[in-house]
Amino acid sequence: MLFNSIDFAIFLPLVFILYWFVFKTLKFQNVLLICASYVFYAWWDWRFLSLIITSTLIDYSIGLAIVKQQQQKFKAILLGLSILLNLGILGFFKYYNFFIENFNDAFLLFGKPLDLNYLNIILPIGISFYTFQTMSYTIDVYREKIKPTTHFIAFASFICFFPQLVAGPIERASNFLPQFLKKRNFEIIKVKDGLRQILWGLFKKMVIADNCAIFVDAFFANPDAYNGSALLLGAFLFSFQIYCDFSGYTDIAIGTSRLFGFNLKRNFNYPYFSRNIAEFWGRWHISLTNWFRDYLYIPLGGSKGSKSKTIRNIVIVFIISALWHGANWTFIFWGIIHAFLFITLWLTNTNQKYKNTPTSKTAIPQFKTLASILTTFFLTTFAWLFFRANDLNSAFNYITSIFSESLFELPRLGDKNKALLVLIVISFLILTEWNARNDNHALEKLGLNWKKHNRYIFYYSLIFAIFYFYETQQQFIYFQF
Amino acid sequence: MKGFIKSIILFLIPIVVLAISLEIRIRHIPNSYELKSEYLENKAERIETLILGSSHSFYGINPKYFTAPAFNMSNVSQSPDVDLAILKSYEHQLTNLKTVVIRLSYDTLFEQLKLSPEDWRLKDYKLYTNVDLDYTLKHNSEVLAMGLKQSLEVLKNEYFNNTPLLNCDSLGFGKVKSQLKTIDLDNAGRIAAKRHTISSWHLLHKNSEVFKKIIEHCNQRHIKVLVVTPPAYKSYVNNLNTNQVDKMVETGIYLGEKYENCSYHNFMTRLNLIHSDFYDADHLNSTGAKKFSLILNSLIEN
Repeated sequence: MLFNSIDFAIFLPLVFILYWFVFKTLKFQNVLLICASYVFYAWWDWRFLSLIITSTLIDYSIGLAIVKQQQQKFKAILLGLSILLNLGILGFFKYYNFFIENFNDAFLLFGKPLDLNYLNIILPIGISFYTFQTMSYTIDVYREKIKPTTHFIAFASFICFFPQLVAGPIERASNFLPQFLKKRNFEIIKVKDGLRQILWGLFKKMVIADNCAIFVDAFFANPDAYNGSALLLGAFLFSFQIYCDFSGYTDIAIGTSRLFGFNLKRNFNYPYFSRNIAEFWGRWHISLTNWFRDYLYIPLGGSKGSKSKTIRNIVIVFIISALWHGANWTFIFWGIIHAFLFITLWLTNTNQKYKNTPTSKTAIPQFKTLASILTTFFLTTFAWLFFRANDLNSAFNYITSIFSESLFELPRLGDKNKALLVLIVISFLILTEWNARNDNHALEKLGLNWKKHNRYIFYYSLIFAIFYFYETQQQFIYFQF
Repeated sequence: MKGFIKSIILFLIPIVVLAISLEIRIRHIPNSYELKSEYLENKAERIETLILGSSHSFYGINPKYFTAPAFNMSNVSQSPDVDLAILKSYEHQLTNLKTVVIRLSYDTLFEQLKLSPEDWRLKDYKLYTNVDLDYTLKHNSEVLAMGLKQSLEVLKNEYFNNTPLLNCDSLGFGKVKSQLKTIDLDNAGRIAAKRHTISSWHLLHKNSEVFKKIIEHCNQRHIKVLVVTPPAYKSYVNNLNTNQVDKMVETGIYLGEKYENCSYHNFMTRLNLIHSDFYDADHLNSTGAKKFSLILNSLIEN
């Protein structure tokens, strides 16, 4: 089920009413959440529910088995088994054909055709997200950071909680699991805040991301038909598309969770206001960045070894993170670009430079801050070109087409009115989010001090814009990961 | 909590009222699906030739030029699975049906309405016909399927732009202006060819099977099937992907050879139509449609 669908618009109020008015005890609320989450997932394809259930059973049992073991060796074997099974399922569905293709190509290069068969595999939605969430539970149990739960219903709800099931944020058991074990109370302030965050998420997805997609899809499908300046604009539009698509999803997920009394961790912190790439990675897809830091980078040795080992660790993390997004060389190239930029900062000891909010006390940024923000934005936009392209050749072709003589012409965009509209809504996004850069989300405080009718006009305007642009349900980009 | 629910309901009332008003207004506008459905419900026993397909046959085959009573049940973006569903849904009414003319265009084998960006059009079948298809919740409403922008455009076109929703004649033939204003057919052909060239062939098998089912369904009822590839302008034809064209022709020939009640006719370049016969690079206008329809009629008669 998509957040931007009519089905969800009916599903959510129904579950909300059942949750607060009918199923009032903790156990029944958790059972309801499991049922609702399974229905939510089965709406796409019921067959893959078995994978979620399998993952739930594996990690619940192994979590309990680990604490029962006295010897560290057996605990490690159990952890290894959990990782093997989880990554085995993930690897089969996500990477099987990628590796077969590359094996075939590699053997062909040496004149020995291998001809391994491809399989017609459907990638289950959200598999990378819930697999990482369930793995972090078992690893934390092994590391004795948390105690395994004996409440299966609570554990199953933690794994399949529908707002964040298919595209995160990837939650840690230490933060999220306890919320399933204690009574949730209806807090009107929290619920209203959740609704505002959902509204902003829908606006970002349906008004900005989906409208950017119209141009981006056309430009990437046929770059030869457009001039350089239009393609450059298309690259910037993709930056906004992917941000509004994914952070829009996250806003809806966090807002929806708040309706049910849950607090999810923040996943985006205005990443395009970052002043360097290191800061960008502290603000973009935060839950994944932290996951890789805690479960990959630090176990590899982090930055505690020699310079070369640290560089190796950074490269490994970025490449695995890139592969997490999908089995394609374009993602790997995207990861390498980010690794290179990050290592440059690390070598110059500036990767920890920015921890605070940019220009938190004044409305307008200083020239130096603005220049850093724009430079970081241009660099991320350049890297996104590889992320978006179907293959490396298409990415290089797109870049070559940008840097042609036609770069200095006026962009030939097709529907100019639509393009103007997109630029207006992007400007609105930038101003609104800049104004809210110290807040958890753009509408957290905006309008709260206004007169009621002004606030309502503002909300109605956002709703009007959402319905106005609701034509076809565009799937969220991160669903494919 | 109850106060909160009450204020949410009050907040939503204006939106719901607006949406319902818009829905009612649009549903009262006559449209071609409604007209076609009524015709099939009430006069289907007259029909001897039924034309099925997408915009290529909707604007390209005029039943008026057929000797035997004919009706055009093609619609924009209609895919073969919908053609089959139409045949099945109205099989009891179509008692005198002798021939089905069905288009096999360049993109036909590779697309399905419910999987295309045009899937909102399924609401027309749900709301105005008895065709049994795989509908979702949104197809029960004009506004939910189209969105606000398109709904407002429908009203604007109907009442201000003189572009009514009912865009076919009483025999189901699509009405178009003689040619798009200031159209550059060379450029339009290139763009349309690119749009119709498919990157994935995953629907090929499914659509081929649907064609077989249509022909078998007709065979059981002793109905002839004419699978036709409609004419297109040279700028369109010259920019097509050879593999995709070959697959289309190969499938047409295969169907014609395998089934006794079926014949395949490729008119993509055969008719020597000229610039003024086309509405755009891949759609005929009424002049072109007349020429094409007369040829089809002679084929049926022979």
